[in-house]
Amino acid sequence: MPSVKELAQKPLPLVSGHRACAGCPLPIAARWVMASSDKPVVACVATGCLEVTTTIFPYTTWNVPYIHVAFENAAAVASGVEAALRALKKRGRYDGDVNVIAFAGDGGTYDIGLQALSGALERGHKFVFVCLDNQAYMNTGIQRSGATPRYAHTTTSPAGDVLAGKPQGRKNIMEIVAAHGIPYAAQASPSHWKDFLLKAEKAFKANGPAFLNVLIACNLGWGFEPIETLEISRLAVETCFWPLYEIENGVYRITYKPRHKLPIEEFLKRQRRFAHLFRPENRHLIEAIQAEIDAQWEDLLRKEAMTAKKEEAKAAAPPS
Amino acid sequence: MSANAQRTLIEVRWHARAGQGAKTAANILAQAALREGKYAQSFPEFGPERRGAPMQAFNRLSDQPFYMHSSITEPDIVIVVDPHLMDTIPVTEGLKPNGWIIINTPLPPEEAQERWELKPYRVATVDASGIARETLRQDIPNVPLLGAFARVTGLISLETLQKDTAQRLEKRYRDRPQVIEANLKALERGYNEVKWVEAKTAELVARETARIEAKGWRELPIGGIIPEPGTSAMYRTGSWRLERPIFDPQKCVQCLMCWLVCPDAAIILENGKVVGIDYDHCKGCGLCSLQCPPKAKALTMVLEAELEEVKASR
Repeated sequence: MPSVKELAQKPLPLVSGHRACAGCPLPIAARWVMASSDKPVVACVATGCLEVTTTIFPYTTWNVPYIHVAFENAAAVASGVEAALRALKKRGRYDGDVNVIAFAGDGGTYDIGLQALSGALERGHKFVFVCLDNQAYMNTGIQRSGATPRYAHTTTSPAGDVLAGKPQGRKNIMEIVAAHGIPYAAQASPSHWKDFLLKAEKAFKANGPAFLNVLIACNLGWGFEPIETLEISRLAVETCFWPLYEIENGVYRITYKPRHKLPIEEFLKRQRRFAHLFRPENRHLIEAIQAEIDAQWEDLLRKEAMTAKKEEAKAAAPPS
Repeated sequence: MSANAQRTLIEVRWHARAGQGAKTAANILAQAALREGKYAQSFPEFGPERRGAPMQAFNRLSDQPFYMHSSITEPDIVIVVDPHLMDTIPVTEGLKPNGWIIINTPLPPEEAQERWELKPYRVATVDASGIARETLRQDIPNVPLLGAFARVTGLISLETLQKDTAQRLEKRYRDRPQVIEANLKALERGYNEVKWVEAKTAELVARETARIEAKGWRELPIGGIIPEPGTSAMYRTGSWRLERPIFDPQKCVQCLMCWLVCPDAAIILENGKVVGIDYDHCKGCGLCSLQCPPKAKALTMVLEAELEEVKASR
């Protein structure tokens, strides 16, 4: 992993003057991913916050080759770019070496882009898919998505007398992606930058498709002050709401285990999207969320132990 | 549409930052106009950017029905909710000569007209932020501005605005009548404290007779092409800032953590060392100051408003 001093020597892949909200970690995350690449990069960016805030005509924030694609097909276009470069190389018309990245939000990954993502993973293109997960359709005005957590208030799952926010939980995108049997999938948070950069570096080295699920704390949609961005992200990790782990060739590894797992309240109470849960009649819902998170964390610990054993057995077995 | 009907249509454009309540104010104005038997519209226009970014809201008010739904490019009245926008946004663009511009500023209207070159327009100023801070204990200048609007334009009566504001707040602040009371007070003070000047006639004549020389289509550059990468650096986002980080090079330990987390690439490096802050792009989120090691504390956040006071006192 390059040191911060080395990173500072590299040209900026994303410059200033973009229109992301003050304190938004999107540009940080995108910059860190691209800076971790050992080769030049091509970015295929689905519709979403990252696209609309960086490409307002007549300006562009991108300092690298960039393609804007529709909500659905970031992975399909990245596949096309990767396949085209391979074909050109084979015919001797191109001798460069680049990494292809697809950036999409949770809408472009969990929901609208899922089909294209699944196809690209199944075909085994060598590219890195980065999901910038802010847990709702923030760019269009905070509508619920498949990534919105249970009981979060959004404009299409409003908390009121009838509903206590979104009734459903969120999809486990990591499991969906890992089920394709890809070489590398990892979950990261900008609050843990070393962990983040290590995972991004691994993703580029993977021999096939790699997936990064990055938590993007949204001060507008979640309801907190811009300065709190990284603290809220850290709390997501410390409460095991957003575990930092990776799945490398089927082997689970939790890269950060909180020494004292914080109660989920610590994470919830800092955000207005969960404010309704602190009314007396809704307190039991916080317990329900805690139970769900505990179960998911246990499940993850089990998977880590289980796959580690399998890995040991494989290493011990004589080569066939 | 008859010439008479056209004349009764009044178009209003609000300039504010997202989050300052211009959308709500435009809404209250339209509601009040409806209550007085007028035809009215109100709608906002946001860019993809959010909180702190410049935005516009629009009103159309008329005695006759009208069918336009486009955004307003030639307003009769411009209301500037955030005075900082006067220096960064062409707020008078398309404003009709002799039209009103109502600005939230403690400056007297004569000075405002001089300072921002507003001679062809009727200029009204009111310290709406000051009033809001005193009555509402918050910088929500939209309510006093509505009062000022009613006074200078005469298009809507203070009573109707009062009724409408009270009704709008009633549901939310049922159990806190003092909030409604404070809002009505703010409205009234805006009405009473606004001051204005007429347009300067000579400038007005000059503006009306000036003709725009339009280019032929062959002379125009080809559209839709961005010939260079990274051009957004030309766009300045520094005006979004409410607080600014102040850098103390003596205390800095050069860990580069601020550079690593700055979303706006606004930490200036020279030979791999932090040397300062790019205030043209810094949005004032404060992430750098939090990331700065507590032992070093080379970055501290200062309110822009206080900074101006400090400057003024010198």
